[in-house]
Amino acid sequence: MHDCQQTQERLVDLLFNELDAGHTSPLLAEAEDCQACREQYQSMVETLQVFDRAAEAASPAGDFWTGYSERLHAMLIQETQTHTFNNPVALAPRGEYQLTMLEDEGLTHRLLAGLRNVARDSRLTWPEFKRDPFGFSKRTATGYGLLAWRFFSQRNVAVAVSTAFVVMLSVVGSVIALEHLRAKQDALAAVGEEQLELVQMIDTEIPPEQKEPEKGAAGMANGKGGGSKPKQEKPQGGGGGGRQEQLPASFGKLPPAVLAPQILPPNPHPPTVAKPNLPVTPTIDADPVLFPPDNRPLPYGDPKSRATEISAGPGTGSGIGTGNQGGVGSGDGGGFGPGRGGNTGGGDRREGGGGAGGGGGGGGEDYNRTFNPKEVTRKAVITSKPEPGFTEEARKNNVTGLVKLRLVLSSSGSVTNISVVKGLPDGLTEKAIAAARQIRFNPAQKDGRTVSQWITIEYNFNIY
Amino acid sequence: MTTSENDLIRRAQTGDTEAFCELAKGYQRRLYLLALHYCRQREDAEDLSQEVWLKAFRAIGKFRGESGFYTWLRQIAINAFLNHQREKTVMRGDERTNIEWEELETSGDGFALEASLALDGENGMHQQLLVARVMDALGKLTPQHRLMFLLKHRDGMTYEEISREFGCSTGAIKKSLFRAVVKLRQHLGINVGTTDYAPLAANEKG
Repeated sequence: MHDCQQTQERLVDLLFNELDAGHTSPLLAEAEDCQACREQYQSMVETLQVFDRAAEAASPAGDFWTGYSERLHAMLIQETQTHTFNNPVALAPRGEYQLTMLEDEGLTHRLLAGLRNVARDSRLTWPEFKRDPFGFSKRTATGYGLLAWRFFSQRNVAVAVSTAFVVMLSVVGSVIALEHLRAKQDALAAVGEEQLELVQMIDTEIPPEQKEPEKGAAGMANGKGGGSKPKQEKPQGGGGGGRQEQLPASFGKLPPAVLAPQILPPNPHPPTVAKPNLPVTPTIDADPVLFPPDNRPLPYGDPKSRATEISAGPGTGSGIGTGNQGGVGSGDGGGFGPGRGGNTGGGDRREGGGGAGGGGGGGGEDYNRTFNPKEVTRKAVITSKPEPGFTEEARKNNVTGLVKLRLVLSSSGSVTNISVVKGLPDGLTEKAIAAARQIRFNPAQKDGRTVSQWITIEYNFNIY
Repeated sequence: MTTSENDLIRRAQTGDTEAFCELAKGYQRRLYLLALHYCRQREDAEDLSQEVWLKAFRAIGKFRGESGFYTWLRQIAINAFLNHQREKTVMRGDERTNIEWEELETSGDGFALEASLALDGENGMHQQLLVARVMDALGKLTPQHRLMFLLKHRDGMTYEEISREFGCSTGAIKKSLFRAVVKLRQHLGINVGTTDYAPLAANEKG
């Protein structure tokens, strides 16, 4: 017996293919037989067909899907970033180590992307903010608060963050404390130190290391010396002083030398009166020939000293050095060097002579020896050389040849020390020597002093 | 599930968005159309389907591969769709009547307009009208009925599968489907000829 209602209810199964193969055909046949059922079924099929057609038509075009994919991708990227920020381990499967690598782009790219995001966000949120500033601020604050709360309420996060805070705080605190302690100690040390006041700056340059003076230099009491007297004579005397200072006398130049008693002894320290009404130059009582003017920008001092610390030395009676009067050096007087009574050269005062042939210990060079022609600055010039003449014997014996003599043209203008290098018989050598003795000449000079000079001369004896 | 899909799933599970997008490409059309027929608005369909993808992305770490990927995805989708309806109702609260009225007013026209972009000519016009009418008719169904109908007709799920998803008997599903089809037919204005409509209507009430 056909029951329309029952059949029609089962038509749904037929419609949606929910029937077994065995049941489909009988039901279909039953529906065909009954007009109502058939129409019912057909209308249902038609409904589905209409729906399908509409669904087909409503389906978006192909290019929609590309955009859809891109939007999905962008959303997932954003999701990854916020999600990783909030809970980095959530993405990783349980029990697996997961390296959190947000992006492997360069810093600039990420910065730009970040800025773009911020710009987009602000563009999106600006209208909302304008519409309802307070509500927006409140919502934002609540949102961030919630985010922060969620972050901190994760397991161990709060503990880790507070631990990091405490550690950093203690590090910073200890650095500050140490610095404070150090500053305190510095202040204490500064109080203990002597309060020094800068009195004066010496702007002249003092060479830190001075070379050892030469043995024959003035003031060394060693040498043959010289002086302003016309006759060669060794100078003698010396001087010294000091201002009872602890340090040894410092290096410096000598004041101008004058053969006269001192008015003002030299002093390495700068003058206490800056601009005296009657300026007096310090001097030493010594032969000016032995002490050429010294224009170096140095304070006064002992030229033989190697000390650089400004001091007048431990001596007494003003002056410089270890002596007892106003001079410079170890002596006793207004002169320079060991000795007494002024001038230089050691011993009691005596003015030297023979030019500036050496200081109070003579110059470095002994100008009294005889020099070779190569050594002098100006060779001796022979002004007259008489002919020797022949002897009778020689004429008879037809002796001819060369006589060679070596002799000294001395600084005093005489010919001395004649020796025969090569002689001739029959009195010719004697003739030659006699002629040589009559030679007139201007003596050789060395360093401005007349000196003796060796010379070899030849006399040629020929018969014409 | 192919090997490449398995591979994509594994990579997506490590948080690889590229792999997930690649995976999504295979199913995005199906999911979007389901959402479209369910929401009957393109914007809503887009939002809803993207939401489903997002949920799937978040949950893919838990995907064990016991069922097919699409089956798993569809479960998420069904939950999301039903929740979506609920949220909409709850969120808009007192505005609900207003919105419903608006939806009724605009859904057809809005769709017709959008559809016209994709189609043209006289044929296009008919199509537009057809789409508008069908969408309107779908709107007359309750969300549950609509979803059941779509899952059955478009996705080809069995009564049992649907009943598992909705947590009710197959009989109830069958009945709901029957009502959905009848209601669609009614709103689409399809004639049943001399069908005695009364018993059906009576049956519907029962």
